Amino acid sequence: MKLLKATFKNFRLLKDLTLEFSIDAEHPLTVIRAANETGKTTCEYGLMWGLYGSKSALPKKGDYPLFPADLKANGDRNVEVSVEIEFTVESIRNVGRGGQDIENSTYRINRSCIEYADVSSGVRRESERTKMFKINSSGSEPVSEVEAKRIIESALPEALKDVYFTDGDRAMSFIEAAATQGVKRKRVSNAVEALLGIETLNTTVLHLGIVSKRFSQEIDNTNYKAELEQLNDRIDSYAEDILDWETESSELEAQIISGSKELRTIKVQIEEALKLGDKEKLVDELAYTNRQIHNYRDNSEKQLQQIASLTSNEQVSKIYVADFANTAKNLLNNLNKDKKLPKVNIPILEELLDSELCFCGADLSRESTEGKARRADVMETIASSRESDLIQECATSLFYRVRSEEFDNIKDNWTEDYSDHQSMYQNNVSSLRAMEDKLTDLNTTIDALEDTMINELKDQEEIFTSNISQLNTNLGMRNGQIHDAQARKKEAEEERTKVEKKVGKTNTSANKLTLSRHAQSLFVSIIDRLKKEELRKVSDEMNRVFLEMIGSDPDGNVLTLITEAKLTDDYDIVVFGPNRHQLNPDQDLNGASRRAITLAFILALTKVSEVEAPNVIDTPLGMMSGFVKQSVLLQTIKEGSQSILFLTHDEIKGVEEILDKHAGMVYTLTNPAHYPKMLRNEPTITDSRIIKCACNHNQSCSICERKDMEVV
Amino acid sequence: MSDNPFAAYNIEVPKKYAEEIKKFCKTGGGKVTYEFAPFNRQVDLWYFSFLFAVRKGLEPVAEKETSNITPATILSGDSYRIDHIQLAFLGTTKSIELLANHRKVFDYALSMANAGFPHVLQLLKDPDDRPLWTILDEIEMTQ
Repeated sequence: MKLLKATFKNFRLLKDLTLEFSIDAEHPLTVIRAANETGKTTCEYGLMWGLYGSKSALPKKGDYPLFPADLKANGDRNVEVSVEIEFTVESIRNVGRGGQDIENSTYRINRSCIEYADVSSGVRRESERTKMFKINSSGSEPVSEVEAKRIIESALPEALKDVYFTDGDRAMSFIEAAATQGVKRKRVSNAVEALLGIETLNTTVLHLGIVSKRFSQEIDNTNYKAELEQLNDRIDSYAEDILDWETESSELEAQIISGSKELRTIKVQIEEALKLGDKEKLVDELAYTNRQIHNYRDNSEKQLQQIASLTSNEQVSKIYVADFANTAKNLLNNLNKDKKLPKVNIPILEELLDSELCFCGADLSRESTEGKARRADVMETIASSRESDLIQECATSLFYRVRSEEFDNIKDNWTEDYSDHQSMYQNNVSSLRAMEDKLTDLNTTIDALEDTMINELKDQEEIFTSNISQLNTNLGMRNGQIHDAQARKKEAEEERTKVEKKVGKTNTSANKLTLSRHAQSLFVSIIDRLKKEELRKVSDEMNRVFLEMIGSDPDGNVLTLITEAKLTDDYDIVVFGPNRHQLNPDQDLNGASRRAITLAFILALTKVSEVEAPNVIDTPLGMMSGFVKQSVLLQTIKEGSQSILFLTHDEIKGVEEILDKHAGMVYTLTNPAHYPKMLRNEPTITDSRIIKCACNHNQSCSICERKDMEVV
Repeated sequence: MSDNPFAAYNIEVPKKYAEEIKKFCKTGGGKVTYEFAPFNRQVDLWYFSFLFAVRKGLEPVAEKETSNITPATILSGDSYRIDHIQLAFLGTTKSIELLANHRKVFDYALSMANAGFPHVLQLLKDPDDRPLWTILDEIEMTQ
């Protein structure tokens, strides 16, 4: 994953802030210059919240208000908070039967919630929801909730979030002197476990351990009257929100329709402008390529539909029921051989009753005494045959329907069908990719043409496309919120019905401990084995990166003070001096080396995880200077695929040349509350918020210009 | 098309799976592609769960809390499914007498599908692959 852009709205001090990130392979570093108390940590929390949600990303398991403090103090009753993140992911996806396709996709995820200022409980967060969109050349399309979770989890596993998003101080917790040995081991062990993604296994072990306790839960005696009042309030509040949002959705829809109309006009103008010159061929080619892409996409969906039909056809049914069907057919065949099928008496007997004489010539007259007696016998026989006839009829009918059906050797035909369809699909996907590449090339060629009017029109086209895409995102979010609020309202109404009737009940418990204990011990042994193997890899990587960072070369110089860093089987980070003399990292290393070893540990974890992911680090170069500071920065850039660093002005001193060479983007954040003590110019804004300016590490402007403390 | 002996009944699924089932069906709403919703209708996923449970020899599961997805008259459109349900029932019970008890045969189909759901949904939620390919792989691997 590579981050492209993040937009924060009302996320604490980040009331309206957009951060963009460099994805230039030659300049993979983004530097956000920010003094202390300027939202660096808030930005990190915002990014994590956008990707993983409240419970996982925010301190105190989400019990962390996002409501901007000044708005709350001004009496605002609720605020909508949102974080929108755009990112790219390169993935290899399976297309069945071992086929693969490399896909470079751009996504936009938007997480939002509403926080209500509650007198009793401070702040209440509701309607937290996410919506993901896939961005492609024709706009954006929504991604299902299941797929969105899968994309985030495979691109940036939640268990490793503390490795990808960290700060210099937090990283130190792995070796800090204030922690006991046990605590430090636990922190390192947690990070390695997170790397392995065995959180789920650990959770399973814990869950199995406590499963018995869950059966003894009892329903408490709640104050139902108060609960009813609360529910009524909540239902009213949902109803108001739904009404507001529905109005807003209608407005957004109108804007999208009008924007789309404008966009169509601009596209026609571009085509006409290009046709004026000798670019007609290019335009035709562009239109042809677009049509081809459209056709290939349509074909893909049609081919997928055909492939999907293979999950539900008669062949699959036969493959799955073959064994039982053959047994049943044998049963029916045997009955047939024994002349028990068909054996239906009633129609024959009923036919007899229509005539005056039996087949054998006996009297069946309605008038004679003999005939009447025989007719009575026949009717009695009809009555007694009804049940057995029903069974015979059912079996006979089934026998005739399936007797010529074949249930063996169906699989080969199905596999052949699957293979044919899948191969057609894969060919189509390859052609689609080729056309998309061609479209990118054509657009690049057109972009390069010097034509002011076309360029202006294309700029307008880009703006309109982006605006419509944003409007669609907002509409999707609003509709999602309406749906969500309607569901919550319905839940609250159901809850209200229950509360009205509720008098208290108790749960029964069940004992399944023996099974859970067996399962628990199996999981524990799997986890132990996984941990040992990964631990060694992390240790080797950490040693290599750390020695590079501090400029240690034990083979080249026997006087080297630090020769090796290692992660022991007990999860201790240890450092060795000459003659393998063991050093204590939190006592025997200087401040800069202590930070270096912890950053080396983090980078090693990232490397071993083999996930292409950003390293977002807040204040990584604190307490460092000279060679180590420069080397730590260089190693951080070299070892990561995308480095996003929040640096204070002091941290930047001494590494300006490295930033000149490697930084693809540098900009500055400023907290206007620092005026007049730390900022030179009076801010133009009137509320509390973090603001961004384009100044890089060598520049300053009227927004960010700082002054030093006056020494009297 | 044969007469549908199950026409008087409804196809029901366990309430706890009802929402998830919709997610993997094209008729469940949303603009998902066949890769993520490999079954056209809910009845197709229901029937696949039945087949899965039969093939894997799962024990039937009775469910109290159920949701009605569609009347069983829908099976008339794929009449082979009626035949195969009856054959699977007859092959399992080996009792010709019970075959005429259509309620019993249909209950067998419902409870086998109930048993299959957790396994089939697990396959559909496989984080390493998209649902369509996981289901097709499962069919291809079936011996």
